[in-house]
Amino acid sequence: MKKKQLLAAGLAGIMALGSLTMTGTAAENLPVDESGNPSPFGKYEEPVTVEVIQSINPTIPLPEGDSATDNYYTRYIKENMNIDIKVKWQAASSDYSQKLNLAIASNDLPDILVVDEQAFKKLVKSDLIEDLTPYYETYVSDTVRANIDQTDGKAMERATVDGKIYALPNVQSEADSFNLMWIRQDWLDELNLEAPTTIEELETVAKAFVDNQMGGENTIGILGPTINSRLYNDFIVSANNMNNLDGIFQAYQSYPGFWLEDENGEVVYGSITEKTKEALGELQKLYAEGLLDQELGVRKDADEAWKSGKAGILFSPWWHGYNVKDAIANDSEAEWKAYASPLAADGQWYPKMGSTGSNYCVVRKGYEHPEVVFLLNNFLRRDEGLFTLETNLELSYYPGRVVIAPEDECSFSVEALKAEMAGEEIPEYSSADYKSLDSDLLSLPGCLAEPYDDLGIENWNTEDPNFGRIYSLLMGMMAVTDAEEEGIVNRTYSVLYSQTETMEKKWTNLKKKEDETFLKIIIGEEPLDAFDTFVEEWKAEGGDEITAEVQESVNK
Amino acid sequence: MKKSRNRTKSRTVSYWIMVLPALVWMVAINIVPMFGIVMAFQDFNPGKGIFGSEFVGLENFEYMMQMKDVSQIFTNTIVIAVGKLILNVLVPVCFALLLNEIKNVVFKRCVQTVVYLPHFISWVVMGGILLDVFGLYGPINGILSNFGFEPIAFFRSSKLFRQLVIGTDVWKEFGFNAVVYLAALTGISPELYEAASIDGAGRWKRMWHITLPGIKPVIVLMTILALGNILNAGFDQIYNLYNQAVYSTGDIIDTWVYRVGLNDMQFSLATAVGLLKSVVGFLMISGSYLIAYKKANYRIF
Repeated sequence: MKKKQLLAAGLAGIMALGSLTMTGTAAENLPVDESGNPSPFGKYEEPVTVEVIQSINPTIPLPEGDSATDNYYTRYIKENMNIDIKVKWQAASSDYSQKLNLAIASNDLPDILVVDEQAFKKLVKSDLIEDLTPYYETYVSDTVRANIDQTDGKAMERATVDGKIYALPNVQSEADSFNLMWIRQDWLDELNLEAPTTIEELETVAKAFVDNQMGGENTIGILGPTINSRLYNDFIVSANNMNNLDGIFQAYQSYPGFWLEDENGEVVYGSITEKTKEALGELQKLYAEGLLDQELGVRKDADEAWKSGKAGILFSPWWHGYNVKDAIANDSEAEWKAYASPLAADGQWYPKMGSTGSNYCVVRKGYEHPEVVFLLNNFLRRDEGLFTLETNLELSYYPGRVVIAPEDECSFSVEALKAEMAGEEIPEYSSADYKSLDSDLLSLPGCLAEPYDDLGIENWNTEDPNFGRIYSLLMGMMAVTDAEEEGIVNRTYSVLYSQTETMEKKWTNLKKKEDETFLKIIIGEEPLDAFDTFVEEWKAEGGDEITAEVQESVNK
Repeated sequence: MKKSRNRTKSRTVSYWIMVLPALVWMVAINIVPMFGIVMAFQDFNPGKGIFGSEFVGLENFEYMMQMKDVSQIFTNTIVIAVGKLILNVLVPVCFALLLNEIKNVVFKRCVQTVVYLPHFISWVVMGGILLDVFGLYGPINGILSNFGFEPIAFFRSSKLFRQLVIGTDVWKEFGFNAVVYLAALTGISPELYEAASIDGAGRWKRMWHITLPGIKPVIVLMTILALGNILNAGFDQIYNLYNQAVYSTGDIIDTWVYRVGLNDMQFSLATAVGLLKSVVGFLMISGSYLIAYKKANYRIF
């Protein structure tokens, strides 16, 4: 009781201080270094209050005694920057964007917020966010700037409208785009099978899993996404999609949801190509034969299905490995391994690549300290590796966080880890660039049993806090780097990763039509030829108009 | 004379005072937000608010009319809502009549309690339960497979979706809806029944000639009140049950407005469709009130 009162009093005091500074000496109160000059790693002389909103995972409790406004990160921020964090609201990640859109519609924004592409455009258009151009040069740290610049200006272009910088854009590691085939290696071993590399082999393996009831009754050969989730990445949300079907589309060089350029330089929408029809035909067949999730489209929780050991094959990014622990908790034999597979008929792998990022940290119009966006992320970028070692608290609790990483962060980390495991010299790197690599190398012995020559699941220590990351790197990312060494990786990009004028209005309906038709074809409620009708209608109801717009923006 | 007028006046004042809080509440919650309707005629910009946004006339409505979708979602809404409306009166009435015939009080009470329990479970929870029950490997398919049927993923079938939505809603609410009819049944004088049985009327005749006419006003009232919801096909329910495969039969106005307005941030377009819904709803309820007034001599005002 007493503790609570103290806390309340303390909080009240902090808030009072915060509001004092907001009305008082805001103009002079800048983040300064020891010599008194404004600096990307400066500290405010007077405390500054920042109101934030957070997207969190409600199933993971905070450490004992911590709260949304008093935890490892808020204490770190207070100590290093003299910033007090106030939380306007929190929402589960699944509800976050709806809640945020409502806040935008009613113009009730926190001081800083992280938004997606669509909301960012809307905010700029509505003139609700601050122009950050005057602060960028002074307050962005060298590392963050370097990471932004390495995208050939693409990241900055995303955040710039009419020559003004409106946001700190995230810069994703390229790794998040690759959709790998994750497969139950222990089931393969038990059935004396090899990991499939072609669609035919995929069918054989999935059939073997299902027929032998490897996951008990109603084993799922190939898992699909959760109800109302995307079947594949598209140009708006172009990475980080769990349990998708992109892996199978890729094998037909089909890229639904992407804007592609054909050999004549003409733009075409990936969902209406012949190759996509072919891939849909295959998916329909897989479904009809019972190899693809029979509950596709109404699957309540796809993650639950593989964690409980019901599914044998799924397509997810490299960081699927972060969650493997949950499957092992249910079944200590469960061994999920990743492959760059299945390959196309020509033996090549054609991964669909995402945008440089899709998140933006922005500042409410009229907030006195727009520079906090840079400050918070400068410190995060510098000390994230330290955080992993010192706290288990999820990074989603870090206010205003956008991921800023070198494009090759994951592949480089794999290279370094491999060198360490082989006892070779680790390639030279700067800890500032690869923020997690120090801690990765440190935690390797705790995660994997020496002498590191066998990556079988029995050699891993799932209890280590860094297990998820190391496993994801050495299983997931390694599959990509291995394929890269083999020379079979052909990246495919969308020519556009944002909406055009007409799309803002018409896209909802075109997308609805697409989602509905594709799902119905796969589950066999409509014949494959329904695809042709879809293409015609899609073109007539605005698709052609939009394609012309995309063509124009590409030609520019 | 003068004195009595004064008394009426002071009594009216006290009534006004009593009703005042409710009036303030209604104005603040129901009337004031109505000004938001202007969004339907604007290109709404959250930064400028509803007072500063640019007016575009009927542009949103024109665009809406061009969309194939709109007729589809209106059809879905009306079919589902009318189905629910009819069955949500029929089923509870039948149930109340049947229950009324049971003489064992303990059994009667038990049944009544059990059937109205589902009413208190929210659709978020109920949606999850139903997806499991009607799932490919759920108990319903388990029973069907005993009769040699192939398993069906019920909620993914666009042919069955509407029926399921109506059916599950009726199942969830009939116990609760029956409460009103049961109350009305207790209001019928036992003397009527006694007189009828002396005259030789059997159970059926008594039900037909005494019970039904006795609760008719309540049935009419409940139906008319329900008509006000004619275009509310049940957002909570459908949002928790639908998926991409059943858009053609299951996407209703509310779920569409939600997706377009809150996910895609086309605030004005969503408002326009919502407004159209309200207008149609208003016409429907006025019409039904008129019919009820003419045919059943029922009036609220």
